[in-house]
Amino acid sequence: MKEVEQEIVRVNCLRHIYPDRTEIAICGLVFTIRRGERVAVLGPNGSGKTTLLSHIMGLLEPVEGLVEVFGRSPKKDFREVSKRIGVVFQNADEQIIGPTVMDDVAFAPLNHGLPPSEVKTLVEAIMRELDIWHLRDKIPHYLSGGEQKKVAVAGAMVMKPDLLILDEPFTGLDPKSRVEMVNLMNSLNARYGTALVITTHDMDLIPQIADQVYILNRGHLVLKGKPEEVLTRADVLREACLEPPILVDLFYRLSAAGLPVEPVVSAADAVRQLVELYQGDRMRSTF
Amino acid sequence: MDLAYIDNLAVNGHGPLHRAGAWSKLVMLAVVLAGVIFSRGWVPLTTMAALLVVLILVEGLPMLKLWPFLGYPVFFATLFALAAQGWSFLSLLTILRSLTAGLVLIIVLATTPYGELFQVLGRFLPTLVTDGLIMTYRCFFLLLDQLSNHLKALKLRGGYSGLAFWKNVPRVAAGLGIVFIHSWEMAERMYCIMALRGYQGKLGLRTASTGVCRYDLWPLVWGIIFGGVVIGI
Repeated sequence: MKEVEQEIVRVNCLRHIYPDRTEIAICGLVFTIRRGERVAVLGPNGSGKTTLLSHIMGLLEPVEGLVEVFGRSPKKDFREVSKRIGVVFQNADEQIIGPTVMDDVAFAPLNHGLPPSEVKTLVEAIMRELDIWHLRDKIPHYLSGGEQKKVAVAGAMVMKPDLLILDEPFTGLDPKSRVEMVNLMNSLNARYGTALVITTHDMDLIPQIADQVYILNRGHLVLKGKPEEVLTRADVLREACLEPPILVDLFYRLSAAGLPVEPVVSAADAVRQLVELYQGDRMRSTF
Repeated sequence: MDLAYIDNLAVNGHGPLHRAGAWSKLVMLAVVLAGVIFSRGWVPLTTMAALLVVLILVEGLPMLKLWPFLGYPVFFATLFALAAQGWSFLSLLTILRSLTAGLVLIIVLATTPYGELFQVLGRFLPTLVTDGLIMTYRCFFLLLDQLSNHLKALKLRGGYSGLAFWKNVPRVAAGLGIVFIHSWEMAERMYCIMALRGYQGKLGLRTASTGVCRYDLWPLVWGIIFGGVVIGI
């Protein structure tokens, strides 16, 4: 069981107005992240996910509402807060700044004034851990999408941040790279206790990557809970224009058809229930 | 013109020039450029060009892949020379000058990662200028990809035909406009990313070694040879 300690992020009823006068208000439930927690934010396009993340990063300042990261205002104390945050954006190629992969991973520690010898140690350690050491002299232009994402994660993790923000990390990845990305995120979380906040449309991956799930619909945080609590609420998900995971949908339909099954979020649970149904008396009594 | 190919050669090459420091190659470059400017006859220019071709071969650089990069300066120098001077000895000198300068530049670029080049230049130029050069170089590839995708989409949707030049011009111009707007947005996003990664007005990049190593002798010896050619012939 992962140790969950104090709250590191708190967002309450924020309102933001973009320069084109588009107003986004994120109200409803209070958005919190605890130390070491893995949080997924789900919602349709335009629901306010990126606005929420941008406020947590300190890139935007709310007109109203509360945004606290590590007990500070991320906009006002940008330098202090950003030192403890790592970010991986959807377009990883725009995030890679250095002429070579190694230069890019070294970018943040050098900017923060660490001595070159320490930078070298940190960079080599994180690159070996993410299994990208062999890419160290590659130029970013030649990297595949999966490699670019890994380099972006290395660049974000090199300072061992307390919070890693991943905006649509699975977009454009093939199934193998997606699995690698999931394993990578979980191993970083387990090893360093880094809290993760992830936005994604990939519902099937949520049980593997999140301890808490928030549903954001038209600027309202409408639901919060563990993956098994949230993903089984097919009605709320559909209302928020989200498709429930295929497994959840299947069991929802089986239940609606009269089979005595409970909602599931993992393949293991589904197998267990189906085996019990097949082997047990319940199967015979159903038909 | 695939600049990324040159980058790859510079970063992953293993010739003696690759191992030499950027400063010694810039010294060689300066000597050759001075020779190009001050030579008054075709003999030293041709000798330098021939020696540079030998250097390319010795370094194991792919000659055939590098020729297209030389095509641009030589083509424009030829246009300029013919327009300004017609067919004359002076035109020949102008073309030879562009060829020799192009050769030495391509050798330096194909053997030196651009980050190292900019770092050496950073000793003489303001930080803002060198940072700007580095970011321009990086963004160039991203924007080139965007422009290429835009032109592909234009062709696939019937908006571009090789035969209809006057119809293509406004559409390609509109595409360039879109890429310009994208570049503006991308610049904002990249600035945000850099700020989050600790940027405070100076790019944190690994510093190239400024020490002297034995491989620095190699470009310096070539520099002396080029100097000798200019002075002696």
